[in-house]
Amino acid sequence: LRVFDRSLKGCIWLLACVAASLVVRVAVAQGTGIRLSAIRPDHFRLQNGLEVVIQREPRQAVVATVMSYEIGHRDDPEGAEGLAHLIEHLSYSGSRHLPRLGALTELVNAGSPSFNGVTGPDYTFYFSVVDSTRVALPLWLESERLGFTLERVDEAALAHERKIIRKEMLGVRDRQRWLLPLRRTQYPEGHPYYTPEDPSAGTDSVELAAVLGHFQRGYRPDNARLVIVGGLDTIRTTELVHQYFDPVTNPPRKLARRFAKQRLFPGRETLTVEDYIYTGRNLVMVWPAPTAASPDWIPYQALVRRLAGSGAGSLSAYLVDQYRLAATVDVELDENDLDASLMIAVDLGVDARTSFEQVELAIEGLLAAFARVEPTAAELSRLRASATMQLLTEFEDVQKRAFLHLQTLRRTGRPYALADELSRWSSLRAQAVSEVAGRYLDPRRRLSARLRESKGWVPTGGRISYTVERAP
Amino acid sequence: VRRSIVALFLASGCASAAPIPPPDPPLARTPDAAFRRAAPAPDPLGAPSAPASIERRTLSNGMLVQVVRTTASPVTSLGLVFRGAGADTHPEGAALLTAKLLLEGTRQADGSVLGHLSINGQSPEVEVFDDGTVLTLRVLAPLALPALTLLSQIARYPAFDPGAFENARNRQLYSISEASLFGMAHLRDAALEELYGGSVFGSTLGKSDAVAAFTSDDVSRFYGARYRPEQTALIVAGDVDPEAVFATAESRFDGWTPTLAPPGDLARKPLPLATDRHFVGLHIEKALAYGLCVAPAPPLDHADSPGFQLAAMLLGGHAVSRAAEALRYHAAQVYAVGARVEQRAGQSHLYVRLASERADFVAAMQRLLAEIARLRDQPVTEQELARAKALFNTRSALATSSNADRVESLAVDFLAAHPDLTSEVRLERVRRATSSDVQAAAARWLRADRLQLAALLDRAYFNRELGDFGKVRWLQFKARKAGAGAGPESEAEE
Repeated sequence: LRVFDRSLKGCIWLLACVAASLVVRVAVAQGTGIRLSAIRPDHFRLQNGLEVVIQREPRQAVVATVMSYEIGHRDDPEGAEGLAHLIEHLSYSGSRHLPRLGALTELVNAGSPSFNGVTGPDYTFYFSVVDSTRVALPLWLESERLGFTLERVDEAALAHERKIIRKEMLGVRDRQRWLLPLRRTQYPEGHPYYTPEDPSAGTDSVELAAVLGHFQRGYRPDNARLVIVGGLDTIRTTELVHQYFDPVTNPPRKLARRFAKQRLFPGRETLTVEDYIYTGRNLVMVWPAPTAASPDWIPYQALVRRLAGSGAGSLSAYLVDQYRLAATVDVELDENDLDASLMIAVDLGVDARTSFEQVELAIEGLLAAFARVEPTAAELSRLRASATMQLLTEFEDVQKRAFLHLQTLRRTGRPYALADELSRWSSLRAQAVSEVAGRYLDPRRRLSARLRESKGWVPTGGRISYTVERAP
Repeated sequence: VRRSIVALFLASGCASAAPIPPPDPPLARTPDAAFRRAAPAPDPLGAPSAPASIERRTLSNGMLVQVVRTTASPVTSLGLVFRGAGADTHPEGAALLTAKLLLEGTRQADGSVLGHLSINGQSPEVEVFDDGTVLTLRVLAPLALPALTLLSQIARYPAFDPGAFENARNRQLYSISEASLFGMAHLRDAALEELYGGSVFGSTLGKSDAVAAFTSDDVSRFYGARYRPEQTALIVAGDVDPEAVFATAESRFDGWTPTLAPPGDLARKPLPLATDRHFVGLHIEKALAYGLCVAPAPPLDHADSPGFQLAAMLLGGHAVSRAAEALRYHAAQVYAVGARVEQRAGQSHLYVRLASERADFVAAMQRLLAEIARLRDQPVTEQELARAKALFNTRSALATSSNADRVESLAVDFLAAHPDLTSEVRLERVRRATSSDVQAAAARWLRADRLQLAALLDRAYFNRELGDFGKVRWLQFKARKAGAGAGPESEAEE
């Protein structure tokens, strides 16, 4: 009741909040017959611009919190690649009220089984799961990160985190070296998603003043979102959000984000790579795909479900079981704000008679067939059912639900609504699935990477040699 | 001319990267307040809800049925758990092949094979653990009983079709060659072999020669002997009526009897450590060097087990553990230190792993050993103990937060070598552990002579760098596709 003391505006806000939180949403998702029972999430924005979603899930004994900032790899200035990631590390340097590592120690002391900071291509987020009695803890920690950390970042902290990041990035490079030539061809120098050859050159050379400047322009309330889901008391949690975040003010200048049009596939591109890390021969074919904001998103998701897996009618069923052209087929959709692509990765196995060209032609022929032939009613029903089950299962998990809210907020400005998602799937038409195949899987606009094991040993850390051939 | 070109090139380079503006003063803008000075206290308003209750019944054929009724989610999870049909059996690899074949079709009453196994688009999944196999299916709540019927059909009348057998075996052979690409798995196996003086643990996938020689009779024999009602549990979590589940289970599994006599259990006794041991170096070309420390750990039913679990949590962990504090936050030698206690074929082991740049690797491993010695020799503080217990507690809560999690948790309990040691009992034992228990367990199980060190690294660089760790056994590793052999190729001792 302390919030009543503040102002009349506070009273009205609180009453509205109470009314909203008491609405238990028991809905039947349109066209699905599935009865959903969930408490409607509270969605509001503080005066300083921080966007907040709170959802009570009374059957959970834990609370998941995610705080995100609209700053990611794509905002790294040229020559300072890795800067957003470096800032994420430095945000654990301590704050006015927390010693170095304090944020981590407090979460560990509270028994948090899951927490981390993650820098993605488009945004950075910090998440944690705590016992529901500790809901205030992540709010305190995140308010410290936002309001009181910058003053603690110094040359010593920068030097230390540079070393840590170098190790982290070399480990990532060890695991993902196979993908590097492909990514560098897909997003060349100058593109916001460009990957430099030396993963830590940018963070090694950037100066403290530049780090602090980028940090200050990216980590501000009007560039952030906060999502809290779990066994919480909505009124109390809302009160805590106001207590910790209302006083945080925005600095004068905001980060100017980098943008780029979705990458055009200029024709038939063929990338040939030889490297010691490959075992045998692998083919990776890439096509443009719609982003999650596109109206094609659901039909395209259905198409990916059609192609993936190993069941009847999948690419694997044809290429592996029927034609014996491949040992495995993986289908993966890579979706970011500025660009999305579909990747079909094929292991050609040990039969040396199978050529890259044969497999490329087979895949292109099959994709053309997927564009011509609509899914049958039974197949469409299976696609809907498997998507429905995935959506329901994700919704059960508080941490996943918090991320779903965040992703939907970023895309639509509204919290995630399971019933709406289910309805979108239930209204999916078979024709739309084959239409998106025809529109996006154009054999004249694709990138094909032929990855082959090199003969003999190549020294570690050496450049990967590759050639790109483009046909109009 | 050349100087001019270079100057122009540099100038254009400088011009292309715009300078990054410094921050606007002041750095601290938010007004301070008293409530920000310390961590907020726990709030009783958020007290956790009571755990869901479990109803249990044993069917007339000895099969256990457990039902967790939860009304909130429209998803119901079902699991059929076959104890004794896991990877820790002979012949190696047969458990996985049999499990995968269960999903390839069942024989119906009229003798025809039903190949497409699904309920409303949901297909069952199967996972093979060391101690058993778990078949799971998730459906909307109104379909729970039909799903139960489908699971019973799969378990009781597998088709074991010859064509499906060939495909499943080929896929397993390919998975074996794929698995050979993972250097850390080889490193773990090589470390265990050095620790016990030979290969003593099987693998879920099996060895390629043995799997290639399997026939469908092998699978039928494995199924006939190891899929038995008295060793099976049905677990259902969701918005279902327990009595309806019990009645349906009784009717669907009535008359299920195994076709073969039960196999003799594999002898499980503590393995003696090898006397002549080396640091194992597995040569691989990577940007980092990857280190591993393995120690035998107390089995789950041992009095030291709770204390040891807490000791492992204090030693390693990606955020704030003793080793992470020392190696990452103070020395910047590693990105993370992982620690995990794993049960494998009746034995327990602690694995601690790290990755470091080559120049830091030896110092990082020495620092890790120093932290292990500190855990062994110095008391654990009450704050550290509380921290480890809180983590154990919240992990347990998170592990039962969805219906699928509840089924998995009960399945793991059923498969455990000591079924009376349920998750709740283990949690209670950990809650009761004292700091002396933790230190005593560390002192007994983390003795220097019980630790086995191994690393994935570049031999050309480290050939003379590992002297501080005693004798080194080098293995050459280069993964190969199926048909060309896989795994360590040669070895030399130095």
